[in-house]
Amino acid sequence: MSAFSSNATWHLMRASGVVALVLLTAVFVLGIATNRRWRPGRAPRVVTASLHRTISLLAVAFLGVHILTAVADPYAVVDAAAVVVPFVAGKSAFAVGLGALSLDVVAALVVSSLLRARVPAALWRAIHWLAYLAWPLALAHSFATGTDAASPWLESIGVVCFAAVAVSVLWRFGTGRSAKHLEPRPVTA
Amino acid sequence: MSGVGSTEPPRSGGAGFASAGAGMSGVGSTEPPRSGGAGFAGASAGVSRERLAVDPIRCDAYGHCAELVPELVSLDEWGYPMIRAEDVPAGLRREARRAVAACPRLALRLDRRRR
Amino acid sequence: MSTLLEAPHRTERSTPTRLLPREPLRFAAFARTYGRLPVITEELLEAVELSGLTGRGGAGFPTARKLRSVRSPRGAVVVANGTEGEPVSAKDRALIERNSHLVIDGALVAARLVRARRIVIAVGRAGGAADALERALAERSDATSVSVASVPDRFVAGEESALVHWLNGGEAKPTATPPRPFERGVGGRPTLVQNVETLANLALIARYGPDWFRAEGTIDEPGSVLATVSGAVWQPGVVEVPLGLPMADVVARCGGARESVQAYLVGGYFGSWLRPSPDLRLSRRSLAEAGGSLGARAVVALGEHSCGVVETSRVVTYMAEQSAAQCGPCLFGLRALADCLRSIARCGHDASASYARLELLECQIARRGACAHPDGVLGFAASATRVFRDELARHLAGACSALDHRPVLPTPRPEGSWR
Repeated sequence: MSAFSSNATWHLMRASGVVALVLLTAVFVLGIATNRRWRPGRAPRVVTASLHRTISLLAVAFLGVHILTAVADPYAVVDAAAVVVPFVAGKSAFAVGLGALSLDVVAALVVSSLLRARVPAALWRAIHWLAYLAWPLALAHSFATGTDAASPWLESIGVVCFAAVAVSVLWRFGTGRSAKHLEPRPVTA
Repeated sequence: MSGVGSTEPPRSGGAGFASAGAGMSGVGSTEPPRSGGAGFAGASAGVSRERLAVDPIRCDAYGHCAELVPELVSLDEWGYPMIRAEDVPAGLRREARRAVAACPRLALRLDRRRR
Repeated sequence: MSTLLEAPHRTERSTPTRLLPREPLRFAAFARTYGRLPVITEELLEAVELSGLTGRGGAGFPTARKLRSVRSPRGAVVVANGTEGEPVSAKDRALIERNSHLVIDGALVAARLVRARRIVIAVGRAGGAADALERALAERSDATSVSVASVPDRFVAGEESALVHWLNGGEAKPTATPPRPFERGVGGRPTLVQNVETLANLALIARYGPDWFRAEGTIDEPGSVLATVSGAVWQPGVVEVPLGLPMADVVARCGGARESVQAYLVGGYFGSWLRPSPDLRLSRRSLAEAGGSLGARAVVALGEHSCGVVETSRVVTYMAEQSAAQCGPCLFGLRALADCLRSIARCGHDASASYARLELLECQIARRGACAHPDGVLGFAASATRVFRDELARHLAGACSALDHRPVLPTPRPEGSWR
């Protein structure tokens, strides 16, 4: 492999990783927006849920590129096993391991959602709650693996993503719970 | 508890309350089913023997079903689905299935009638 | 049925004493009065069918059919339902406190018929029912498979699926069916849920046979029943009467009316208001003809000085609070219904607007819950608009004609958790 193409692989790996992170952030925010019954303007609420699902598939696609290029790239030293089994890669095992863990959780999220009708509802919910684990792992992975994690524009992307998720989490748990779960107000006879 | 979740849309002159001469200006009220399926102009002929039904305990008023298949589902004033108590016309089968798949709580289902 | 026993003597025609003794019976007295339970065989199922026994908990389902549907080789469960969440009904409590052993016998008979290895007698937490049962169980040695369960005091907690859900470790709230309890209930096993009064009758039929059972009541509706009578009567309480007894006689059994009765509430808070009529009898048929239902035979006599509109409003408010809050149309619909009725009861300035809203509310509530709670309340409220039509008109015009403002129908505050 020429130096040029291997360099290209490496760059593609980094770029697709960044895009995947941004998309995962969008998926996370849209998931919470769905739960909060948000609607974009006057569009139907189902649009939010639909976007959430579509973008998650897009994120998976970019994740796929990211992983393939990581395995193919001679400089990154990630073999196929390390992709899904955390913490077995040689160099920077911890950083890659974070990514592997995140991927495992994302895979569970996606597979359980694709097979949603066949999975018991309680199991689907339990797995979906793991999204709160998958995203921080992905963020930690992107900062831990970076030689250019210190690059300012990548840092800004990270900060923006973190802020988006933080605000979403506040939105999810800070604002009122869904209607039926509110305590029935005591009715005065 | 037969017929849970398969309900009729608002109709005038509810069977219970002594008539108050009330107007039917209800949020989300739809017209009662007319005979001959006249409401589904343009839909291909035939019915599928499938009927939409909702599990009222799982349902949490997301409202996606009413957005996806408004011909069959409307919302009451609190945001909960009111489903037409009739078979899904063949032309709406795909939309009905999409609505079932789209429900964030998996509360909507399609019941196949066995006759 | 070759070993029929001598039944205890009946007194007058309208006062059978099959189920309800005057005093609580300890085991020795019970055995003396009723005799021993014979060996239970499969033949009893046919005897139950011949007797025409139907469920005494309110639904009135033929008991033999229910027993047959639960029989299972896997080991079924019998749940004796004495929870009685209905505030105006006290018959199950009275039966348990005065005749625990008959109830236990009935549960044992049912268990034998459906091949159940486990029996649970479910009662409410308030009152002495649990203690009475524990005392009775301690007096006998044949009831080792019987346990007593104290269920949360909620209106819907006694509903079949709610009871099963609670026994399985959940909250006492109704669940969406399928599966029905007779298919998969407590611990996943086929479960027979039967009212304690029905089971007590089962124990009597086992002893004395179907012909004896049919000696009371009517041909279509045989047997005697327990009825709770309250309101404007001199001696409110639980009485045992034959099915088909005229309502006037039922009231006479309770000392007669204290004042002129403007309406009867029959069937509890899921029942209907009915105008007094000489044709009114305590039977399914007669009440259906009058636009009502028998239910668990809870009868409240509303005196002429009270206000039916106010009472109805109070009860609907109570029933809205008692919603399990699992289904939007029930939680929000009943609350809205209660708000409208309260406005009418108070003769508020928005009373007419509230009245106009009732029909739309009904359309949005009917048949949209997972259980019968919202529909029961709708039926009750609708009957009020029919029977108290004149009083309703007065309220809409701004005045209430009641002279006695004391509350008649009990509306206890919900206490404790659903678990």
